[in-house]
Amino acid sequence: MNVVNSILATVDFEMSRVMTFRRLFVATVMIGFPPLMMLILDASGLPPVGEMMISVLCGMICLLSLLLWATPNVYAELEGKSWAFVTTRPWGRMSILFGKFLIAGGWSFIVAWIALSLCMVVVGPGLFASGLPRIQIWMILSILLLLASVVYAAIFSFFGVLIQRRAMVVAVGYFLVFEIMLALVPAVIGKFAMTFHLFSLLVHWIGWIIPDDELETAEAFYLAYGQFPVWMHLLALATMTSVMLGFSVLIIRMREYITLDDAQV
Amino acid sequence: MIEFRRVTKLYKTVIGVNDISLELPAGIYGLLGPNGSGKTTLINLIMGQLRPTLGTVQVFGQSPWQSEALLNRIGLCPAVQASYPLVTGLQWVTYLTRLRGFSRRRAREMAGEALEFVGMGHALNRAMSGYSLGMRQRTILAQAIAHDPELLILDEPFNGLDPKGRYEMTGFLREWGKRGRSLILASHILHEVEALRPSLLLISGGRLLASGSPDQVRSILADCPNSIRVKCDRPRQLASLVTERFSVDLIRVDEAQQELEIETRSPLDLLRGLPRLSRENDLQIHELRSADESLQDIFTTLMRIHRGEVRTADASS
Repeated sequence: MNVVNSILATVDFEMSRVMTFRRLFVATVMIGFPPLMMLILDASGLPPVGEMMISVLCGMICLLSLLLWATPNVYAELEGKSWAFVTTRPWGRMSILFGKFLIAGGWSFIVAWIALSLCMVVVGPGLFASGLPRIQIWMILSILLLLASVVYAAIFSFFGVLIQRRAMVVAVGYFLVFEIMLALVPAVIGKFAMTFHLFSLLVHWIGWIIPDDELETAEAFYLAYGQFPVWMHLLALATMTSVMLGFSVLIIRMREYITLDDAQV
Repeated sequence: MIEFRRVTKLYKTVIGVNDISLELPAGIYGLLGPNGSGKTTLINLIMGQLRPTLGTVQVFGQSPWQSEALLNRIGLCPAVQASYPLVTGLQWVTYLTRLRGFSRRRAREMAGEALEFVGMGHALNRAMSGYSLGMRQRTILAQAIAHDPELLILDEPFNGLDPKGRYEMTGFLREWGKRGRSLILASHILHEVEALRPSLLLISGGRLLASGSPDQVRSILADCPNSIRVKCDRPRQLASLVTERFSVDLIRVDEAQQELEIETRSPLDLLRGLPRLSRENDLQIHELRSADESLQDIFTTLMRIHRGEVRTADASS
């Protein structure tokens, strides 16, 4: 149980460091962006694509926050010179990986979820296409944000453990190439993108989110995203999370991380 | 306590430590070497942060690589200064003690005691970013001793400390030794380490050049040419007098600097004779530096012994 205690100690310590002016300012800007955009879109007479727009905007905020807090998991410790202190404790490396994974995922979810909640408050009823009660849409999008926070926290933590110095750049590249471009490819390879599974769950749970006058698009949409059952998408997300964390554990346990001071021998 | 068997550590093509074998029973050790000599690599091998490329390392009878239990028997003060904005010394030491498996309450108690012990009781709840260098060094020491380890390892603990801080640190380390706990102190400054009367491990270029008590190390150096530099008003005249009266291997005169460099196998004879020489010939000697004062000179000599450029009776020891 020592490893669990170590992880909890890191979570506890990192939580006490979260409430800095800089972090709160960044979070406030992130939280404010989606509702502001939705207000502007609502006022500009947008077709009823509220569910889609809110999920994309809040998803972006969640990813941005994860890029900031999950990818520098190892590099921040090496650069801050705290690596030697933490990793010379029993399970120190595991506590860095999982402690920061939990904090990054949790913090990013909270930021995105507050943004989502504000969006649900400020957007007028005409902007929603599904016809579902607003509370139900809010709950579904909250679950999707939670799932996205967990799976992308695992993926970005993996990049942080693997690459360190350029982890953020690589993570952005990965997202653009694999999670956006690959997800649009109508072939088996597209199913490896986590955005595909998250979007499919959105389609399953909310249903019709494309305006009525684009029925052909809607049929294609269902064909692309509605063909697999919910459990399969959840399994894909859970598998990806487990695989990424598993590889991260292997790497962080086996690798000799060389700090700038060590490099001077 | 610690055993290295033919340990080599390579950082790609750069050698960190080179074919080191040693056995250290419990005790106080001074790990001496110039910057970049391999001290930190040696410490990282002991702490299990690095794996030897060749050879084996055993600490308390087990390999330290990925040995989680072993880490609770050792306290480490790395040669770095970590600082978190807004985190107090007590919070930081408590966190690092909790990572050793103690409950939050117990870790807080232990952290408070350790900070009190190193004289940081007055600043427990102050943000570390506001600490002076000496206060940070003491806080780093507190995190290493909070769990009362069997072995304390300090990497350049005197770095950045003012004379008062150095004095206090030496006092603490003496106290630690008196408690019967083991200590490894890595430094590039000889007299700081010597004050603790440790067994010395002299390392340079990744190689262990000599080991033993300070007297044993001196005996290795006694029979080989020692470099002595003398600054005086008439270096050429002094050079002539020295070659007449003492056995010297080499003399260099630098008129511009008014400096004389003398290499001799009998440094003590020369050092004892110089004042009389100065008095009898009315020479003004401004500065005298012997090899013993400069660790770099000792290492230069040891490297020459190691390369076979100098033969001494004790070199094999």
